[in-house]
Amino acid sequence: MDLAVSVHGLRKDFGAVKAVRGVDLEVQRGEVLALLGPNGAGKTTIVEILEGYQTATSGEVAVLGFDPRHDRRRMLERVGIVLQETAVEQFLTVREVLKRRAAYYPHPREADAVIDLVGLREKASARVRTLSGGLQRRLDLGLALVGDPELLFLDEPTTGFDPNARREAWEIVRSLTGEGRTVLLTTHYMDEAQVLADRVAVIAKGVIVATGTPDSIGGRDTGTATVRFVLPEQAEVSELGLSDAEVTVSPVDGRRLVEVATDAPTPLLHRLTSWAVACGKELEGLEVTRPSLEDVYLSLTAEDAR
Amino acid sequence: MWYQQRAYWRNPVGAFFTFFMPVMFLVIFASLYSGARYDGLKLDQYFIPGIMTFGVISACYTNIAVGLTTQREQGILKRFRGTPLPPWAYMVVTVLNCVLRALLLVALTLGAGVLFYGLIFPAHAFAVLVLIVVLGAATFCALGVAITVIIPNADAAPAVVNGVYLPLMFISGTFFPLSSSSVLAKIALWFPIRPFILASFNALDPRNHSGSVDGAWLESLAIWAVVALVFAIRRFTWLPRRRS
Repeated sequence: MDLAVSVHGLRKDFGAVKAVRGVDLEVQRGEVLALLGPNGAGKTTIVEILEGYQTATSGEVAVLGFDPRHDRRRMLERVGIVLQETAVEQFLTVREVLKRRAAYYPHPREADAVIDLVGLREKASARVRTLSGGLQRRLDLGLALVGDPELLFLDEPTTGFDPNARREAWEIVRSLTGEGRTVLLTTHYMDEAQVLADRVAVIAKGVIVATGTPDSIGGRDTGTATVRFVLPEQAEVSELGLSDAEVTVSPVDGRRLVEVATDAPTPLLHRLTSWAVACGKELEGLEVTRPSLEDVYLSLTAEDAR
Repeated sequence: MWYQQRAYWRNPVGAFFTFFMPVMFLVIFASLYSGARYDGLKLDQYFIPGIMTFGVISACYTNIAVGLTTQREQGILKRFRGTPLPPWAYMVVTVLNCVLRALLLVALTLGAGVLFYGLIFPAHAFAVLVLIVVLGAATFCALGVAITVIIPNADAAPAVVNGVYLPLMFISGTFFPLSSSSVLAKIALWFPIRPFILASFNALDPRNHSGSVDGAWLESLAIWAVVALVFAIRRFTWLPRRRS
């Protein structure tokens, strides 16, 4: 089975509320898939169905080839789960918690190895309640890893982390995927999806609205780009021959900022720079930007306001 | 299993209320009652088994009900359900740890009773008493698990737990003897606490030479245990009730 996760036609209703409305999703072994979407979109519901905490109303779900509801125990032996809220028992030490968890699995890793992996070496004998929130979250991740899982579910793994902690957490996740593990993470952070994911699936209101690599999703790589520059003092926009493009001019700090939206930035740049060179003028602040993942995400999830 | 036991002892607040409080009661009441007599015996002979049952109920019912509700609402039970550990294994370990503590408490209570308060411990009572205590502990553990079903959150837990059993404790004659012919005592007989007390008292009664105990009381305990168990198995929830 080379699909780590396979979902077809998944639906979940809570009474009259349709939380998940027909989702298809596939996660290849060894890849990192980010499920990106606003709160209430259905990401946690989908993940909880995959983890076996909830049952689908209809549709087929397979995790590592197992049915998460009926073959739950065998699936759980190969899966690590990090839930959205940290909830580790407070009165045991870090090492004790890991050793206890390791005993539930057929092929666990050494507790001390996991302690090093998540960077808790200094706190190995400390009681959980003395750890800060961020460190407890790392312990959470360690607990999910101690069973040496093939597949890892990470539900909003860095929510509430400061930037340094986030980077460290990303390092840990990236080192895991190097070992051939599959990761399914949910997040509402664009940069997290950008940095960690091989592929992104954007979900809104219970439906997947786009899937693709972070660079190409929603046509990012081929979509409309924006060229910006400051119009030189004596020039006029009409000189630039931009009649067929969308141009906006805004006054910024007493100068005129020109923004041109275009599907073909390269010829446009060529025209602009040739013109500037011919006039002997400088196009200050010249830049070409493609839509960010955030722009794509916002437009994809806004469309869904139907 | 040992990890769970360790976690209990390191939580000082929890340990105090469910373990040491019964011992405290023992000391307080014993000094209050000293010298009093009941039914031809020192009152202590009646009342110390009463405290012993209080201890078992505290270590089992109260402890499990509040402990499990708290763990459920904090998401700890949900985590365990995300590991290959079978749910029944978790429950069995929890119950076993409580029963162990109950036995420890019984030993402490009766030991203190014999050493300091002149409790008479008939030698032949030992085996029967162990049976009664283990049965009682199992029953009250089951009741503790069952009652978590109706507790909505961790804050409500002490209120519900105590609200249910404290009135029963009083009308069952735990802290002071109740005449068996009174109306309250007859009502109390339907519930598990009074049979437990009567069985314990009877087993330790120095006038009871055969060391045997009325089977009806034990049956009553067993029935409550089974009812609680069935209810708990069908209705126990592992996921937090609050919507996150």
